[in-house]
Amino acid sequence: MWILAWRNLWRHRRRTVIVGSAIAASYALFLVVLSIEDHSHLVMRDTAERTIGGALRVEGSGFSATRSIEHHVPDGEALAAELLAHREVREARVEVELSGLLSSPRDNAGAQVRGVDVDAWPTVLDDLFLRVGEGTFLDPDDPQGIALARPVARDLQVELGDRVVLTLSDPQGEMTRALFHVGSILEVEVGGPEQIAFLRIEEAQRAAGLGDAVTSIGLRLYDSGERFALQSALQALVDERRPDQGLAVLTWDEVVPDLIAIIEIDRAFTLIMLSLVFLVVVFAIANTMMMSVMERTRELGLLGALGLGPWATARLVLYESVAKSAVFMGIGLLIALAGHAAISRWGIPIGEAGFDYDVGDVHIVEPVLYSHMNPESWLFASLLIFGLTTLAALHPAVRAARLQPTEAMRQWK
Amino acid sequence: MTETKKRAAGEGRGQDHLIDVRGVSRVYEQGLSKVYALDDVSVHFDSGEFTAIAGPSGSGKTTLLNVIGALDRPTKGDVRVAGRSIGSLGKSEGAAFRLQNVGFVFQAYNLLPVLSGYENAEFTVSLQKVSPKQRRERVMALLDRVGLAEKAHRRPNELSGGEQQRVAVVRALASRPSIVLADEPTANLDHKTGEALLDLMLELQREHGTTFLFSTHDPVVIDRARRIVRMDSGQIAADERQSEAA
Repeated sequence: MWILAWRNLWRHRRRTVIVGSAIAASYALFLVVLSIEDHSHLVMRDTAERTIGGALRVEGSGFSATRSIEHHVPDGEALAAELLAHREVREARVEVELSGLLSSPRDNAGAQVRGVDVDAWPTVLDDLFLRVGEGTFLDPDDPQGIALARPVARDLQVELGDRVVLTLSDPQGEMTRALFHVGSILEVEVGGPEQIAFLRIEEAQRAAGLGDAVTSIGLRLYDSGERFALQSALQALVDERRPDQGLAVLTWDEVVPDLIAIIEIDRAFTLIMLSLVFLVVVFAIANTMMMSVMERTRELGLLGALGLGPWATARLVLYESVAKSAVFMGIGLLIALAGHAAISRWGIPIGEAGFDYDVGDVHIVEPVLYSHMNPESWLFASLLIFGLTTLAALHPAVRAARLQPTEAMRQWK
Repeated sequence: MTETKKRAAGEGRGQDHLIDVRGVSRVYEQGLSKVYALDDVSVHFDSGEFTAIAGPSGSGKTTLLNVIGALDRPTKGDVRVAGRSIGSLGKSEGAAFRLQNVGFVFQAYNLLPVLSGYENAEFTVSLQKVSPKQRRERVMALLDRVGLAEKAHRRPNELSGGEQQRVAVVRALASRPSIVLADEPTANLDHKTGEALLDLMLELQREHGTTFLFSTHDPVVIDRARRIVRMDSGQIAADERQSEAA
């Protein structure tokens, strides 16, 4: 049966090649587009994880939603040390995140002010696409020094050494002020946050009246894919060590739920678009298979006369479709692999600005599109397309099964 | 005696005839009128017969063969083969019945163009799930018997009409059926080739003991048949037997 199906496939070589090319091209397109999208999603996830300081974050319940330092983690350093002792945790970063107003004698600017432990955050600037343009970043010998992103410094019209005042609410909701001077100015690279400033963590704690409390502890894991599994274990640990402090261990997905929604909507939209494209191919396949069945009515009748049952006849038609799909999906796979390799290496520049948008605190920029091969996506696309191409042959197969041998044979007379 | 013949004999225990056509009518409706392709036909054929069903076009020869081969259902009456009623078989059951019991030889050879002569001949045997080794032995022996072993792997378009029809005969016999139904097998062949094919089929019939029923109006076939069933207007007009010498 397979031999017969295979030979039948090549009876109209040109027609088979044309329909097969549509299968190969659309399958390759499917895989390449999903791979580019998977890379974009990877960038989004990675950016989100870096922005919140790790795959997991410990914070006072409600902090992510309200941004109020009323929700904080008392004695954050000690808890961070305990969490770091867990074998799955690679790094624990304490942070004080404040929303405040910076003022200079010439102007004001709203900014996110982050108090960071410079020793524990050696790569903080890289993570946020920032680099030191002038001065020294949070110089230990200059505790009052504040690091301003260049756009903030521009808004405030300040230079190195100029004084700025930070106004914010303390945990009790009282307005408080602290005086700093510009210790460094940070250049914002593509994808970096523009309205941001940095303080040494102890200075941020002092300015906000937090004492030894922090607003969050970012946890970097050896395998961020394990974050959901680890979340409950670490929550139990936190609850045990700090029973009455209402602390929550959140995955980055929970901290930035909008990003997950965007990723899911993005994937759904892509699948719908690609499926619509492929649906056209499916109709072409169905049409070709139907033509093939109608052209071979007499032969299919002969097979019935010789003793091939109706469902075996249907199977023969399906085998032809399966053989066609297998051959041309194989070619499509090779095209997709080549496309993936090329795009992974050289990328597709999409203009100076690229994709540039904010989701919560996460600022995502992708000026060049790259490809990432996600086996799950490739398997899903392969099964979907194989299933659809087989489905396309279903109606012609049923038609073949319903042929009456005598009626079909009469054509031979 | 072949395996198929043994099975047919077993199934037909208590029955006198291999094929028993009882009061069969086949009516086609054409608009408001009815056309009787078969009109209350009763006839039987015994195992090992070499019978020609003769008659003019439209006399019902092919319809009778179709009904016996479970390709068509009688409107009325019953057909029993080896004691089994086949008049009401479904499509799948009919196909299974033909696969095990009936070999067909058609006027236009009807070989599958994408398969070689060997593959065409092997097709029905492969459907019977016979092991590849047995298939090969059986088919090659028959192809050798009809003088086509050397051309076994040629496609039908590389064979002459006579050679194609010999492949069709091999295909019909390779599945070891109890009955071979041949619908005007010599109509597309020249006189000499037709005669040679008939002689070959007669020899194979003797060797295998298979029942051969031919629909024909070819004198070559009629001359060689031991029995001639003449049909006219969907009815049996005469049923004659002639000696082997004839």
